[in-house]
Amino acid sequence: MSLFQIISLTVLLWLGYKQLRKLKGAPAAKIIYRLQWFFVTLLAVLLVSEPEISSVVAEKMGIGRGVDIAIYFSLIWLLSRSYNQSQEIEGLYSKLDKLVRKISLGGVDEEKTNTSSIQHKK
Amino acid sequence: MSDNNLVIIPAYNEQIRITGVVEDLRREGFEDILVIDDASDDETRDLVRALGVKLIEHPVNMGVGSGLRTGFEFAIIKDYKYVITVDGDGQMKASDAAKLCDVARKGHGFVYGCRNLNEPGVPRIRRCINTLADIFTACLSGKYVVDTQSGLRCISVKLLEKFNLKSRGHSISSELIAESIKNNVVPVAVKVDAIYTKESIKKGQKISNSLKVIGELLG
Repeated sequence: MSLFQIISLTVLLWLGYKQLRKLKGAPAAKIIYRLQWFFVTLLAVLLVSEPEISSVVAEKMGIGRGVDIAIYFSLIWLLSRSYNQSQEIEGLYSKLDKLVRKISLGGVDEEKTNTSSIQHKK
Repeated sequence: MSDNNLVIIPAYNEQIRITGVVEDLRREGFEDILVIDDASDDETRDLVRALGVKLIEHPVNMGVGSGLRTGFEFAIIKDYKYVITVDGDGQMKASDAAKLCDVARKGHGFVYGCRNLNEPGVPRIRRCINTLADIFTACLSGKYVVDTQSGLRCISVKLLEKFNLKSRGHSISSELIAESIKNNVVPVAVKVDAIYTKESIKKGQKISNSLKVIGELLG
């Protein structure tokens, strides 16, 4: 086993251990999300310890080199994660926008005069 | 000017210009003025309070579009007839806002101030951004409207109630035009003058946020 494999495996196993520990007592909705990360880590462990596997899969898929298939799949996975996260952030901003309006306009319905200021309570 | 119209000024860090903008509007006879302070870090809020006009404060900075939407909601709740939107950077003249109201009174639901972007003094980059925004708005709405990014508008509140606005940033300008056309009201352009200062250029649309604007509109 090369030095690179030893370092990579140590880091990956440590990550996997941390993910497994977080599974304990996590709500059902989060378990699926965390398992997804755990399986990705497991796949990385497999590819680092047995690099030939990627070559076999690459050959079967007609891609050529094993490293290429790893890069392609990483790119697809990272893009999908990035898209999902941007959607989540957009959703949060949308909720924040509504909340800000609700706070800012709080009490406007009760406001009867036209001259006073309408300020949110800090 | 007091026929149940509300002037909305979205403001973010406008301590240098906000007093001048409000005083100009008052000189033109606008009585109902609402400033939406979008969580400014400077003295904008205190200056607006001292001026005695209506003030709504955003607890978090959300962008010019969000500020305008807060103002629109206020106008709907308070049953105003027209809203006049004016930028807080002092780029537009209050006399032009009055001109817009005169045109709107003739029965137009959406009137906006159209600047002559070919005038000397208008930065070339600003001309390019505005033309691109006009083209993009035309793609969205199906109708080409000149100077869609103008911040000076007079919109009927009844029409506003039909709009489904989502923009938080500068894309609100394109969205307002597109929503108006969707509701079969073609915005009427009224020629206005624009004052370009270093501050107004700094605050306005930038190439760097063009993609963000497109993303907001498509999202």
